[in-house]
Amino acid sequence: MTENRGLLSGGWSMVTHNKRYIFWFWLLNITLAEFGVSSFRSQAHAILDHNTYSSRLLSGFDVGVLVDMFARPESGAPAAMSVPAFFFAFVFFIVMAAFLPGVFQGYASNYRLPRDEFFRACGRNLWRFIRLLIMAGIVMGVVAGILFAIQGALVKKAGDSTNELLPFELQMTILAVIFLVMTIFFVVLLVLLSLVLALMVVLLLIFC
Amino acid sequence: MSQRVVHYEIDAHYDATKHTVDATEVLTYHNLTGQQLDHFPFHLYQNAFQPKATWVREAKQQGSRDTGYDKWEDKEYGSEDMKSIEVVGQGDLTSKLNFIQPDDGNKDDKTVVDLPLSKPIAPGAYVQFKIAFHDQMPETQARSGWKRDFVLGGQWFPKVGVWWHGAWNCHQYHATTEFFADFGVYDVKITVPQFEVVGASGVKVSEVNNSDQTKTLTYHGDDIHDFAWTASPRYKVKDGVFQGQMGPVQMHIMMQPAHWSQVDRHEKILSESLERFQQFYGPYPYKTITLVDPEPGSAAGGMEYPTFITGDSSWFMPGGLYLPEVVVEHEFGHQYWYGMVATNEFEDAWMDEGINSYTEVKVLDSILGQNTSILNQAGITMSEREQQRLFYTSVADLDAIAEKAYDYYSFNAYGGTTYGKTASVLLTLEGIIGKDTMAQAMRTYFMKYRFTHPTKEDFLKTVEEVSGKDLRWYFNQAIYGTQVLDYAVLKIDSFPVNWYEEQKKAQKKDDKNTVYRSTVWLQRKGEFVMPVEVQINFDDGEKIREHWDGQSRWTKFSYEKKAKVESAEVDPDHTIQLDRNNFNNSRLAEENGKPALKVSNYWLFCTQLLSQFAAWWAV
Repeated sequence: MTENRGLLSGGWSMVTHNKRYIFWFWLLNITLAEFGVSSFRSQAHAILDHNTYSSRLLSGFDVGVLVDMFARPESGAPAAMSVPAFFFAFVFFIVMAAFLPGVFQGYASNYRLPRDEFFRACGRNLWRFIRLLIMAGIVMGVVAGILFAIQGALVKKAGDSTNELLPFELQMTILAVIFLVMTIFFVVLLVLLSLVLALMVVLLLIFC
Repeated sequence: MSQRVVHYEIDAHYDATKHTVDATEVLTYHNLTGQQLDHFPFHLYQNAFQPKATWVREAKQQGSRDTGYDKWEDKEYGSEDMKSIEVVGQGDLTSKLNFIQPDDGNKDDKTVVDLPLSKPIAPGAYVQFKIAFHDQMPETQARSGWKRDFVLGGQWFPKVGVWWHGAWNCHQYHATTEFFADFGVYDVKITVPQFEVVGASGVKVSEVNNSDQTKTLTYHGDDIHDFAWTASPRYKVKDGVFQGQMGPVQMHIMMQPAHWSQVDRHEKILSESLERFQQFYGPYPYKTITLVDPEPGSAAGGMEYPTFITGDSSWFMPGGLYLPEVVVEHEFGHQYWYGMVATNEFEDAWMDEGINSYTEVKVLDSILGQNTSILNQAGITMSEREQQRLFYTSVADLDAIAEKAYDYYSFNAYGGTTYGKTASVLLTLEGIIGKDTMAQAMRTYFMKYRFTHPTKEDFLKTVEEVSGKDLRWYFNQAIYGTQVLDYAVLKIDSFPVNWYEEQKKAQKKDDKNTVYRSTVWLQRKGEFVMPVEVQINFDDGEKIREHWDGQSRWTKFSYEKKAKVESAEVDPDHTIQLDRNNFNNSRLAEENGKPALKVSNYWLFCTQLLSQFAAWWAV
């Protein structure tokens, strides 16, 4: 119990010492999301602001009004709403990938990381991160493709069953497996790469 | 009850492995046409499910409810082969059968076959046909066929056309059409493997086990115009009794095992629908009603046959999502609008689907609440009337309601117009003649035309007679025309009458003596002309109602008061369901950004969640 308390308080202490990272990432996340939503927000204001009909969205939530809004030609194509959201989600992903090395450095340090050291850590590891992501993307894409193909075939076969729930259960189970495989795969990939790097260093030390 | 024109005696054997039906049919036809009949057309509906048939061609081109036909698969093949036909007293006339295509001339369509007789049938006489036929049922299409070990026998036997308005009415089967048949008596024997659980139209008379591991079930139905049946080894059944105005009604509910937890929901909505329909429109005269929860993933859900309906559900169905209730109510409603008031579904689809959609709104409003009749979960709501209106607005300017079912622009246009537009037209009509008068008109129409084949004018004239109003101006636009209804508050404006004086003074913002000149401009944006009410709300709480005949393209109302206009609204009582755009029906002097903020903040939250998930998982 005491150990657990120590673990928790240690974890909490780590969070509070690095809360600025959490804050900045949250701010970045909401700012980019706001960009992603801005076109939809302005369309919604244009349609909903000047009438009494839209008040049905306020007391409770009348889905019919929302559907009606999307059905209006002035709402534009659904893609106009979703594409910016996906785009800025991708931007967030890139930015996060770029700054995470600095965050790791911050968490690993027992002192408040100065700004220049933070960005230096980011810069040092940027290209490494990008290579890692590209490589992982290619390998994981292939593995995910194979796993999803297997999933599709199994779910289709399960569709012939008289058990109505089987396709759904199978789909969820395989999705969970794919998620785990992808996650573990990435960790395994990192470990393997580290081992290869270590081996190369050892070999270099031996032969040079 | 009905004028019984036909008597079908069918003895059918279902092969559950091959999904085939081999049967004999004795059809006794009573010639009540008042003239000699020298030929008889028959529907062979199962022939629709062939690649070159009109049904499949149309479905491929215009879309269909169930099947896209991106490619043709053998299991989708259906056929109905009339192996022989004998006319009693005239011998075997099989060789005289010839396929006809009265609607589109498609020689590859074999859904209607015509039989010329050697001797005509005199008025008032009976003629008996002895038919042998073989069906290959398709994997379920258009609410007929098999899926896994389930089968729904709908439109499965040769059925004679209807002599209607001086001619045979026997249309080809189209992707958007349903059916039309004469009332009569059905005596049907169905032989299936003993492990099957069977349900059918009419009343079960007997069930006998045979020595070859099959069983034969016999059903009898009076005053019905079609017969359907279903079989599956896995149905779980609950029987109940509803005390109807004409005696007890046996409710036979056949559920999928995975949906058994929803059986009480199904029973409740079925009995409530029975109760409301009797209360609103008239008695349910049959002794049974069978509700089938069909095989999941089959195209068999949501269909009506006399005393036999299919629902539609899923293993996941939250209590506040009323989809099973909506489907069951709708299909039960067809016992009235189709089953008893047997309109021509080929030519007047709106009279069964549309009138039924209207009564669906009324009945579900009374059972589940006006604003919550489809969805009422965690504060999120949606109503049946909203759904019907949205269905209509998606195709508002394409087709008139009074269109033949196979002449609509597309499958969606057929659906949006026959269901959604008709329901919206009749809900709007309530506002014109009054809810009570409309209710009286509907009841009168049902009681007058049950067990007959009324036309569109029969319905419209009934409404005019009951209301005592000439409604041609409305029907010509709403039923026969394609005019779109869209009224808008174009602009509202208030400014001080002595604005030049006010400018000179240092403005006292809340000067209650300031007199304002306020104007409200209204516009008729669509071609549909209809008188409308307008409510103008002032910031001192005063409300003024105005009436506009809607004849001109726009109009304005002006006032001089010690108050400014706060808002204006066309149709403040929300009776005009037909208005295509509800957002421009009202106008606020000062904008209210809260609804947009709420909706866009939800989307903001989703976007944040999406980017967080993607980033944390990948990085």
